Amino acid sequence: MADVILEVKDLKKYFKTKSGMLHAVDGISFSIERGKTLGLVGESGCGKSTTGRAILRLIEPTAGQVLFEGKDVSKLSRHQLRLARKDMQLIFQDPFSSLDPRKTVAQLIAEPIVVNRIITDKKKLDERVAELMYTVGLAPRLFNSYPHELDGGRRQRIGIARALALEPKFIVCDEPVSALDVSIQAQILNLLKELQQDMGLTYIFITHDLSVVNHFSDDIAVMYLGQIVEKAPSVELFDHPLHPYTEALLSAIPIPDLSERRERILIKGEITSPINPPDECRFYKRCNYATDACRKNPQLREVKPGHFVACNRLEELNRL
Amino acid sequence: MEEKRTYDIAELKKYKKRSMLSEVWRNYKKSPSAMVGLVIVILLIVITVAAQFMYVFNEDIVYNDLKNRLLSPSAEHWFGTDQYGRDVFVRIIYGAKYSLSVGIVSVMIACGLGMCLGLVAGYYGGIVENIILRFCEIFIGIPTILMGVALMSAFGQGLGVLMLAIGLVYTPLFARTTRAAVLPVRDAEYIEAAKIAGCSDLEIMFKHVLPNSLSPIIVQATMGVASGILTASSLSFLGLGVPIPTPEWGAMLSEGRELIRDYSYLTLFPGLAIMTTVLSFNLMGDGLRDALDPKLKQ
Repeated sequence: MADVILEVKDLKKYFKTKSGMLHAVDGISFSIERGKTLGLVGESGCGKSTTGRAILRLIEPTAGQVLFEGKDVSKLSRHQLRLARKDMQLIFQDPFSSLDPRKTVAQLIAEPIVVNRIITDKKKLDERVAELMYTVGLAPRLFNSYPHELDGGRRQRIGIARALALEPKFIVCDEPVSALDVSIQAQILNLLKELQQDMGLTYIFITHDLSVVNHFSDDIAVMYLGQIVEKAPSVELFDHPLHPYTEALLSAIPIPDLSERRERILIKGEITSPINPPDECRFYKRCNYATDACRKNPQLREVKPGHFVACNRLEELNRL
Repeated sequence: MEEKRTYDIAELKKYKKRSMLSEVWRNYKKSPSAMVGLVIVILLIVITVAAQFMYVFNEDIVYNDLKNRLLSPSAEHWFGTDQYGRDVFVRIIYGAKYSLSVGIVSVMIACGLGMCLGLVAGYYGGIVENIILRFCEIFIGIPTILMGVALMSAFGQGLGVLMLAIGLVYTPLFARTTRAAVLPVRDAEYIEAAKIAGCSDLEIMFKHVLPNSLSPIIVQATMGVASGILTASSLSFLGLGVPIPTPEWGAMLSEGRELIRDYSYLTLFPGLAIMTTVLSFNLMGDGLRDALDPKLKQ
């Protein structure tokens, strides 16, 4: 039995809107082993970030269970949740808006430690902050700077230091590099990877950038309109994508080689509205292979060891 | 990671914190009118404090000197003397403490109460917000003077009551300003970041939301001092403020009113004093608004 740190069971988050219920996250299940990284990919608005936040209960899930080390996070009291969040942290997408502009770097990094009363001694606190700054690669001279004086990469390092301050076991990285320049993206990704190895962290890595997730994740789950359509180990997913949506996504990754010709699969048609979606395959309207068989919502099923797909016509299309 | 490093904290402290205050001051200095306001306010405070040491209430402020009554302004009596022979200039200078203290203390009351209400309303939203806001609207609907009159007649006259009454009258304004300032901050991502870091609601409200929504409140407070002084003077003019021999500017206006046709300086000078004070606080408020506006920041 693998050491599962986090298990999500049938997680749902619906938002009430004027025109009906918006199914942001619609019954997704997965589990992550300790020390591994699960990449969560999908297009904008497919519910990736909502999933991440629902797991941490920054937004209350509508239904479902989130088992963190066997405990159901969605049933914790406020006090218990506060304790649980020491082990579960979040790295934000936008380092420009996720840092309080009125606080210095040191204050920002010290905050989780101070509010959880882990270190009360001022001198020890400063030392700990300095240590964290060193860990994430922030120069000591930035100790008393304000975030608006720093570039995106440095700000994101502050965000990472904040997340690490409580020595968590599990971190949701919500598109941590999408707001950064490409050159800095690589630095931050390497930092996250190093930290994972050093501290044995478990990540959920949310992104829309497939080339990023490929290098970073052990497993990849592809989301489409609030559901997971395919989940597999990274190599397997990239080599043998089974769901038509995954296939189309992978074909869209640019290859830096002009001589290589390949066919791009274009996704046509209108996206199904997430507000009161009909009970059919969510990809039905845009899928090249859609038939009447797709008029029912497919279940995510294991077709190869570790490889899960939700497609009604999988066998017919003979893609296995 | 494993290696234990020691860090020279003194070394880190070398890189000094530059406070927000210095940045605001840098912007504030740029506006000449705001500086004029600030200088007058500082001058007023200095004069007020000095007057308390120079004059004695019973001997210099409240006395009868009927030989010298109703003298026109001269070198000896700069602003002339009133119907009891009291020096108007001395009374105005001495009386500044009433106007200033009423203005400042009432704003402190209003700001303290209103800020808490607005913070709670803005942060929690929903029903709490609705209840607080509707109550504020009810209170705002009642004219300031009427409200002051009602409170003064309910609690009796006196400086303390005047402060409290004006403070209560202005509370809803502060509550609304604070709520409006809190709204955009509440949804900011760094509030979510504070939540995940383990901050409680109170910690978030006072450590993150309030400092980031303070600018309009500071401006409102500065302007509020001016309105407070005006309201206090109006109430005193109506005979509802501080009791009569006290040289409160509004009360002095009221006393001079009967003689305005022949001895207009009796109303002119207290009026000018009120105007100057209110104007300087308003200038200061204007300057602060510009200085605190993040869009003007370089």
